[in-house]
Amino acid sequence: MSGNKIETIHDTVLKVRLVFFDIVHELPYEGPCRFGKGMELERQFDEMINNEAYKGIQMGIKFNLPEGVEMLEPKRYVNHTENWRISEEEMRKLCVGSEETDVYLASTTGRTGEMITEFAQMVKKPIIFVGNDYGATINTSAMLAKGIETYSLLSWKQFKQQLRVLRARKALANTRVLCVSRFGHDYSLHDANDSFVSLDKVTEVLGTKFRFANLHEVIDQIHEIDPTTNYTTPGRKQENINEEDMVDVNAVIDELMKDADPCVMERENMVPSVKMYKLIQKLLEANECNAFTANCPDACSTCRINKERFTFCITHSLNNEQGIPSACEYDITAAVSKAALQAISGKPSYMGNTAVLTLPDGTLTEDGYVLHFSKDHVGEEKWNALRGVPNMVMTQHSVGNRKMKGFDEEGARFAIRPFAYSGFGVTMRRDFDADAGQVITMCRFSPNCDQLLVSRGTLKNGFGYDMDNCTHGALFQIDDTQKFYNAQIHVGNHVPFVYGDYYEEMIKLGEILGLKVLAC
Amino acid sequence: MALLDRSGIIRRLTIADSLAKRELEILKGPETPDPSDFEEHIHRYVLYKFLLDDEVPLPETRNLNELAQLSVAKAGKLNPNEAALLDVSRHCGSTSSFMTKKVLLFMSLSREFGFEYPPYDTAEITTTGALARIIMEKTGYAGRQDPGDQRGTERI
Repeated sequence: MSGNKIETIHDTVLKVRLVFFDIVHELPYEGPCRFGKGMELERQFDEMINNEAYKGIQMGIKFNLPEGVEMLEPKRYVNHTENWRISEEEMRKLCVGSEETDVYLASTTGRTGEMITEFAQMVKKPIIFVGNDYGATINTSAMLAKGIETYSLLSWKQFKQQLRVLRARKALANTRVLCVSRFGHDYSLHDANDSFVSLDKVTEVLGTKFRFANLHEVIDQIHEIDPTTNYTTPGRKQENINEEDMVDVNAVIDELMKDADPCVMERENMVPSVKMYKLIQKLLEANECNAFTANCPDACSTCRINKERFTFCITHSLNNEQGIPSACEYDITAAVSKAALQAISGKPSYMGNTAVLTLPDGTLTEDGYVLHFSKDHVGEEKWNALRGVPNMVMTQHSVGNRKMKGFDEEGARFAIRPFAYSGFGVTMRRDFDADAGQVITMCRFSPNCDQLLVSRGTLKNGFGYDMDNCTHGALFQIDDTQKFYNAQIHVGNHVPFVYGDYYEEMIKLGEILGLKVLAC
Repeated sequence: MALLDRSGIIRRLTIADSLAKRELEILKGPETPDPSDFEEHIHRYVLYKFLLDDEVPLPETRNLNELAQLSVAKAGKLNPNEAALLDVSRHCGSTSSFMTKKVLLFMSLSREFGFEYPPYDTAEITTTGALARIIMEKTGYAGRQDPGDQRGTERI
């Protein structure tokens, strides 16, 4: 995914293994739980039909594995009979390889529920049943009651969906966010103070890890100097931009200037921001991280951004294009929410200030005083067109990307414009107008990491394509803006979105993470 | 297709059984059919045993699972209440009727030709052609003729 050696969350592989339990009758007889005629009552019949079922379920799995899921060598308890004795030795053999297994699909030819339960208790891994057989409901309810993570799915389609959700959970646990901060580190008081309150709690709930870099130390490193001579870390060898890195920096600028429609920036004004992008790539690699966020207002107020003439905007855009969820304003929650969306959809996301614009009856939420900020950004013409259109929402930051339809997307129209009116700070603007009608899915975790907003809508158009500053955004319509707002006040401002309908999967992801899902 | 009563089903089964046996008699007889004829006789045997011989047109597939599934569907049309007669078993375990049909077919043929086949290999036989080749091999017929290719015997 990334051009560097960064292991992205897209590289996460969920490993699933079939565990199969035979049932073989030793003697030919009929009764209330065993019936048939002639050869059907012979032991050989049971042995053969067990094999048919074993092969059948393997074929089912093989043809229904989603991307990013690997099937491991299956395990089988052969010839368990109706004398009901369970061999500890055989059970232990089934457990071999459980360390590398993320989830088991259990199947049986019948009456082995107690063995499946015992197996689950031995391996301590989630168990999936597929099919509408009554055995699935018996075993699932019995296992859930014993505290075993168990999923019972009615179809292979649901199986694929469940595997995607479980893979996303694993991807979140494989996410390591590089956080560039000025003050403290759990959250920033002057950036996104609606971000996670406790990162320890996030690690506990999601498994996500966090690594930190000091803002001033990072800014020092964009200078092409001896990497042991930085002002903030004298003597320590750091990751400073060097001559070799400048080849990459210039190549990125060349590509952006060539493909942008239009690029309205002078090359010299682009260099500092793209150098910062290159530096962040090096720091991600050095810290073995695959997600990113950095201060915006807290960085701005140092005046070093103004002095060095860069912003982090293009870093976020290019990171996202490479499968590295990257969020503005030290909003760690947004970075992790973006990781969740990317893990489910396999696409990069977009984020920004998210605000309800029209109520379900089409009324604009303005009285001449409130929301002037949104109105200014959307522009007079598009703003007035919103009147009477129900359930409209905006998301706005100048961090668009060219891969919203998938990492292999080519040719999306974009503009390169400055962030600052004095000409510095590279921003990428995607032509959202061209994507009108696109279904989108949104999510955001709550500050206590105990709730997850999930919503979906339809992209209507964009704004700010031909403006400077942080004016770029998208307008979209959802089902019920009042319901959305009631949920949003529990999670916060930046609500990232991806292209595509992943609403059900995101709800399931929230549920298996043990969160309260605010579906709206 | 009109439903058959119990006596109608027995009559239908008797005719199909007799026609199936005739296919086997040809294979067991003094003439030595070439391998492709051998495969064709086994395929017809399967069609008779699965009551698919009067389908118009005849099923194109030679996949045993697909033929067994067609047979289960056919049994349901002939008379859904005569499952036992039509080899459509309702087991208490998690197996399907088409699997039952397929396994009973193997067991019948192995007894007719008097050979043992390891029960845990039968699921690997997926086509009537592969089934015919197994029989040729097990009965020594293969030593007299070119067994042909091994398509249809696959491992997953």
